[in-house]
Amino acid sequence: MTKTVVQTTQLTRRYGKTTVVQNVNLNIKQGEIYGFLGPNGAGKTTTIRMLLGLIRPSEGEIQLFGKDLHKERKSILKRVGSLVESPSYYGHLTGKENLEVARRILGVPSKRVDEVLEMVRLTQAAHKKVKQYSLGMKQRLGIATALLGKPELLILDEPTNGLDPSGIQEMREFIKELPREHGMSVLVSSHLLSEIEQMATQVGIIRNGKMIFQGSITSLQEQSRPRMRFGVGDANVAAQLLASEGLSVSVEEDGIWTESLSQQETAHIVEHLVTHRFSVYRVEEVKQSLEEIFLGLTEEGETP
Amino acid sequence: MRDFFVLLCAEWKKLQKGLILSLLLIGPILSTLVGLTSLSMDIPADMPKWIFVYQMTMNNYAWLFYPIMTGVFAALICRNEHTQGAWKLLFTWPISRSSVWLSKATILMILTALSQLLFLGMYYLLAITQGFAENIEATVVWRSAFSGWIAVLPVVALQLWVSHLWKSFGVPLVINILLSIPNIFTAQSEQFSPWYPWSQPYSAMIPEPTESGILSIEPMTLWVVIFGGFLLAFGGGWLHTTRRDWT
Ligand SMILES: Nc1ncnc2c1ncn2[C@@H]1O[C@H](COP(=O)(O)OP(=O)(O)O)[C@@H](O)[C@H]1O
Ligand SMILES: [Mg+2]
Repeated sequence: MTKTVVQTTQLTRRYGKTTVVQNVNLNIKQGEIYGFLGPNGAGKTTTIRMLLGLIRPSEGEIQLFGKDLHKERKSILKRVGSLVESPSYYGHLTGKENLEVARRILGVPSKRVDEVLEMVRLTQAAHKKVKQYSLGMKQRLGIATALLGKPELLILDEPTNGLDPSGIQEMREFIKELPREHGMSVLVSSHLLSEIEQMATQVGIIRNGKMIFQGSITSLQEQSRPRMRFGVGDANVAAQLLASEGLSVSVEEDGIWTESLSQQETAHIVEHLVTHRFSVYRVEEVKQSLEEIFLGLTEEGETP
Repeated sequence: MRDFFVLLCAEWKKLQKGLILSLLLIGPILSTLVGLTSLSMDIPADMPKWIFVYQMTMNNYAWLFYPIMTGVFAALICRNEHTQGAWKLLFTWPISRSSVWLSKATILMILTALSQLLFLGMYYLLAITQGFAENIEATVVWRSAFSGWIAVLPVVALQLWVSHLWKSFGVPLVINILLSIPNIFTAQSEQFSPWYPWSQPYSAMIPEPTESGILSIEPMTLWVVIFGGFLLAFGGGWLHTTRRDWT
């Protein structure tokens, strides 16, 4: 049985009267890349800050590695590496000095500094002051710092923000390798489905502070019920006929659309149309793309 | 405990040493120049030359440079965390939040102690070059410097707290300068000065030639204003740092 690495129970956070994160039950299993997906302002960063003990939940519980974060903060944080929003660093120190400061605090051997520099390909720039780094390099230094303590869980909040396309690609490949090569579990947040789709094994979708979907990418696809399209001559009149039968239909340029139907229902509609002398020249089931599902989920009932 | 020492080393590594050293030197150097010009004044007949010069050197340093530099250092040692978002780095490491506060407070205390040493050093340098060094009663000037350090501790704690609170570098500085300015008036005022934290370094550093123990501070002022004030500001800052949201 795979172990649960992160488990939150009814996690809630309020700022004044506004509830920013509401009853979130996050469940991340060992060895997974968990994509935490949601539009800007959905509550991703707030949730992540709570997972790291930076801010306190208003309600609910957080368990990491099966232990209560509030009670065993220190021993838990030893096993976690993180990069929250923009990378943090000391600009007047070199990349290597930055890692050296972190290394001492974490109490890991000094050769680990060179290892992580190598991993994020910063060996060349190790002795440059970080304020001279490009954003991509700062981001990589942030990742290196997060990896320093050989964490079992890596938490990355929008790690590709502000990177150019090749940097994004590189970051994605890098993250994908982590569970395989280092046995880590990864929580990575993003507001872009395309990004999560390409690296995550599991997804959690958050909107307006509420978790609206959690599961594997394939089960997300199954979430979408396919729609049916009927190619019919004289669509407007045909639609009126079907509507008078109590079916919910809509007329679009390319035909009449209905929600997904069973085989009998489909047969019934076709028969009905044909007996009323409409020409039916196409019947097809149309699946939504992941993007459409995501947009559907996040836009549905926009007012909370 | 391990957290504290490791953090202390980290804080030390993070200090911008060149900048800190030049800032540390400004006050003592300018004050010593004032001391140098005082040599051409009429020295009161009942006052030894070394005391007179010490008094003149100490004057501007104690009410102006010392408390203001304390605020500058407090803002400086929190500046990196504020500007590069490194608070969240500090607080997601497996270390206790208390040790973060404690290590920063300790660094600030070390810097204020260094300032006192540099001040004394500059005074001795002046005395040696002007040929009155052998007259100096070491206990008097060392006691003055030590008392000044103790007396600045409430300001240390308060400024550190203020620097944790405000993201901007300027705000704690302006607060500190504004609070230092009343020193011009309170230092003269018998009723007010024993109670005003920013005037404590000055009062404490007035050289007292008598045998008055290791500190030249009124016990009442020492315990209530300095010790009490320090406990309040240190405790308040600690509670706040360990409880608040860090983003
Ligand atoms: N310190 C704060 N005070 C008040 N509101 C906040 C604070 N931090 C975040 N919020 C609000 O919480 C919501 C969620 O923010 P955030 O967690 O940063 O979203 P995301 O990371 O998904 O973009 C936003 O509407 C934001 O305005
Ligand atoms: Mg965010």
